[in-house]
Amino acid sequence: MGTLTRRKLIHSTLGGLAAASALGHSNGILHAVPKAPSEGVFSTKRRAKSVIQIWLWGGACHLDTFDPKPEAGPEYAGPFTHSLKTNVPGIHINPKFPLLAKQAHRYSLIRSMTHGNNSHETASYMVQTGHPAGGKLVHPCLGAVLSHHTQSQSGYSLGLPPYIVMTKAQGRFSEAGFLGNKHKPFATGGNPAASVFAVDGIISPGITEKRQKARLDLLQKNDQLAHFLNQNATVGQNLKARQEAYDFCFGDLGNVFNPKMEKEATREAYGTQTFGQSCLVARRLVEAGVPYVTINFTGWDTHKKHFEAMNTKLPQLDQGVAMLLQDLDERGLLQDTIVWVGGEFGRTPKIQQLAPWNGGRSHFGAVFSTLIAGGGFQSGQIVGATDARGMEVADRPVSPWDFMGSLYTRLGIDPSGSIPHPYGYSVPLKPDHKYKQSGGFLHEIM
Amino acid sequence: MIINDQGTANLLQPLLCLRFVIAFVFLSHFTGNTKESQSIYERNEIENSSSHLLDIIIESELISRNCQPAPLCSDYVFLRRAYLDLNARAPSISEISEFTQKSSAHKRENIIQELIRRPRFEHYQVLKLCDLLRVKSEFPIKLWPNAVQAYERWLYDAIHLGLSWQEMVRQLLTSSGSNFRQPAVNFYRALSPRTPKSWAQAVALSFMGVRPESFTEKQWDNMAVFFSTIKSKSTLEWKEEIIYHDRDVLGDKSSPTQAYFPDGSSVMIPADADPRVIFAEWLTADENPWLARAFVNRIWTSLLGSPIIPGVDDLREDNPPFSQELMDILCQQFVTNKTNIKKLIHFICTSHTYQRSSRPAAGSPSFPGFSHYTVRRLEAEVLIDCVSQLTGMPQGYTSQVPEPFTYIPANLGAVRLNDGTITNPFLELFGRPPRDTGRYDERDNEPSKKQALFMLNSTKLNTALTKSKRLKKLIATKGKKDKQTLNKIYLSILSRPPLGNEIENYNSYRKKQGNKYALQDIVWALINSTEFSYKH
Repeated sequence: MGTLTRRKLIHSTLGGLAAASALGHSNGILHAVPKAPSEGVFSTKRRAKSVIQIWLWGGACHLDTFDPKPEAGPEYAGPFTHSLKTNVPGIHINPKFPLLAKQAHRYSLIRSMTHGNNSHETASYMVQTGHPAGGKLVHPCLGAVLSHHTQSQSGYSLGLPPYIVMTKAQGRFSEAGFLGNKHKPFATGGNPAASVFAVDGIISPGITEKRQKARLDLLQKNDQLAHFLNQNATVGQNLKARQEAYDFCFGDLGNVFNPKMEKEATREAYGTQTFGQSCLVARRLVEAGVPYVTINFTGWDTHKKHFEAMNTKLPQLDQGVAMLLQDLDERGLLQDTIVWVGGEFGRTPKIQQLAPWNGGRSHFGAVFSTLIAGGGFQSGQIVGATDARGMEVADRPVSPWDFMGSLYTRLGIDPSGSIPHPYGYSVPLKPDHKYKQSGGFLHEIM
Repeated sequence: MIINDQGTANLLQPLLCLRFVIAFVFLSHFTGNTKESQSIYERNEIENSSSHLLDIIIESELISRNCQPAPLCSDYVFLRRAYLDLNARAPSISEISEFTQKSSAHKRENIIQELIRRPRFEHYQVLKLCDLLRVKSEFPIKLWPNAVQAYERWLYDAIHLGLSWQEMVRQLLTSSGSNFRQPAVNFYRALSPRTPKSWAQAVALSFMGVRPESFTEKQWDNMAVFFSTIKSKSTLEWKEEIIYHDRDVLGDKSSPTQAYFPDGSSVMIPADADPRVIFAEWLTADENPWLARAFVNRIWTSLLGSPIIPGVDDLREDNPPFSQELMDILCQQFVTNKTNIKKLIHFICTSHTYQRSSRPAAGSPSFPGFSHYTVRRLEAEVLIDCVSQLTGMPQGYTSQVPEPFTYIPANLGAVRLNDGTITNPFLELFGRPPRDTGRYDERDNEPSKKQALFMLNSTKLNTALTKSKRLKKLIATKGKKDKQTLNKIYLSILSRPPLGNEIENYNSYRKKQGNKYALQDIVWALINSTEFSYKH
């Protein structure tokens, strides 16, 4: 997309971020460093600035990923008759994860996540907000809260949205909850592995930039009502929004979404399918200063054809996450970026052999696993344990709030604090409800 | 003191007036086509003085504030406005030519009457009621899809049969039975948590326009007594729930219970009475000040764009109306006509006030007070339906939550989407309310950068515009003069013909870009214009 000129940089970033921050550019990314956080919003305990949430949509089985149980026999472990040693003694994972097995010094595993709920919507809500479902309020998830906090401090002037989802938004619950439309994530749409990653609203395949600009000019000339009502405040707001969108479209910020700006070797190392390339784009976004990126990795709700799906998905997950952790660490970003890989629940340890499942696994909220890396969390550790068949928590349960509260702490947001409701009152971050199984925040790795 | 858009007093009125006078002079120097614009947006004849009760009051208010009313809007603007406000769609080309060619002095009144009679009017009112009553199958409301369908059907039938608002409220408050078979009971199911106090607060918000923070704890405790006997039980049918009055709650007392209405007056509830019935009698009585004011304020805001009592559903003593007289006359009309909803809307829409141009009169301040029409964005559902209508693209809605899945027929349109849980990214982006609270401001019609990004450049919209068969037909120039095609495009998208300068701009664009893109791009430009997505 041509060279970045100083004029273009200033034009494309709101608030003249270019002038304020340390600028280097490699591969077309602005290394934007947000200004220091203001008092009272982020605490000085803040270690992490960003989060990459890799959401295993539908729930991945703990036995087939991070909590292998080959000794439980084929009724439970299926074809996985052995587990794989990692480069950290004592940590074993699924044999389909050879690359992650070399990265165990960069992550920790939580094997005792539990909430007991088997409904996609409820469980997704619980895991992503930390709150149990029920009650009057719809609580925002971590991404929305971070979007709120970063936008309410004066330092966030990056033109990119603070909460980005690749590629489709959740659909199972409302991410922004009561915080409203403003903190809903920006869903990119498109496919990063396609020949052009058509990020919705920024890149429009089939229309040249020249034509875009020409027709925008036509629009501005022919917006007759806007001229007629040019004193009207509402009309003014609309024109302002349009101008901001236009700046976003035609600035150079769009480059950050383009995986083709990376070397081919890098792109291949991540895996040239949608998930792998999403990981690569996520790294680019976080490098540019975006606080929260979710990759919605779909297709884990494997009631049927479970092991066939695992044959495809596990290697993709392995390659993408391993490369992401390595890349972030080598660029010095891992200490500031929390990487979280998990879903809303696990899947039944005992395989459902009878029809109609024929070798599938169903929902399992009793216990499941999550991988956590970076952001000041210690690595090379295992938190919690399950019993011999992965059926229940054997040691140290981790409730959704235990997990979420730990993330808030690392991000410098006080988990015993509160957030403002748009109707004018404060809502505590911490849920009222006490989870049946809970072991407190993840102090073992903090 | 003048009350501005946000309902707060503005003491700088004289200075503002001056600013706008200067701006107006500046503006007319640069637009150059003010006269042409004026003719397409405003009526050029001298306005006859109106004998409509609303106009008399508003005119005297304006005089007392040194404000001039804006001129009446043109026929094109009026027709589009009325169609959007009453039928949630834009008028067709034949509807426009039929209306503009009529010369009857009562044609505006007649089209209002006609639009109110149509089923689409009723469906649009149901959409608004569903926003108010939090009609949503999933968390946190959890009505459940079957109950949502039954409830919406009940609401539609009530509007269609012309049930008075008082009667609707009475039934919603006093019904007992199954959520599937006595749909009005869903009023009590459409909230969480279910306690007497939260029911009281729901009743207050929905029917009295009173927010939780506006009554004292004591008032809530007193009001909760009327809802303290509501119980629920399930049956063998999946997700069926029976809502009923449990006479044992108050019935085991040997004497009647004394209870207090929100206005402080008291009543004795006999041991065997359903207190909801007693409350409903109080609320739906003609003299009850809350019911009529809350409803009138809501309807007025949806038609005129700005409330008489600020906040729309924030009735309290220290929140005075723009004009007490105006509120009184509307409530009086409403109650005298047995709280008939259609008659209230007819009353409002046949006034000159409803027909004012959206540009304030020269030299007048630009905040309302209803001297001019308030410009505001179309609701998400109406906007998406307008885009679908133009491109011919059906919007298929499904909900995979919960299983079994719900499928909405492809051509039903978003205005008919009764379930707050069924949505899509466009609707959410453009502010469809989540229906968690039922407050009027839950619907967000504010513009945003993300919305503009979608309209300007989203893949979905671009694809719809280039691939749409209906649009291809619209912009086909074979055997037609270009001028005709441009005319048709403007009428279809903006409900009016193009102005001279617009034709010129288009022609010079076409010379540079070529025919093929020029027509596609003018369609794109018009859909992105303020005039398309804003009611004016």
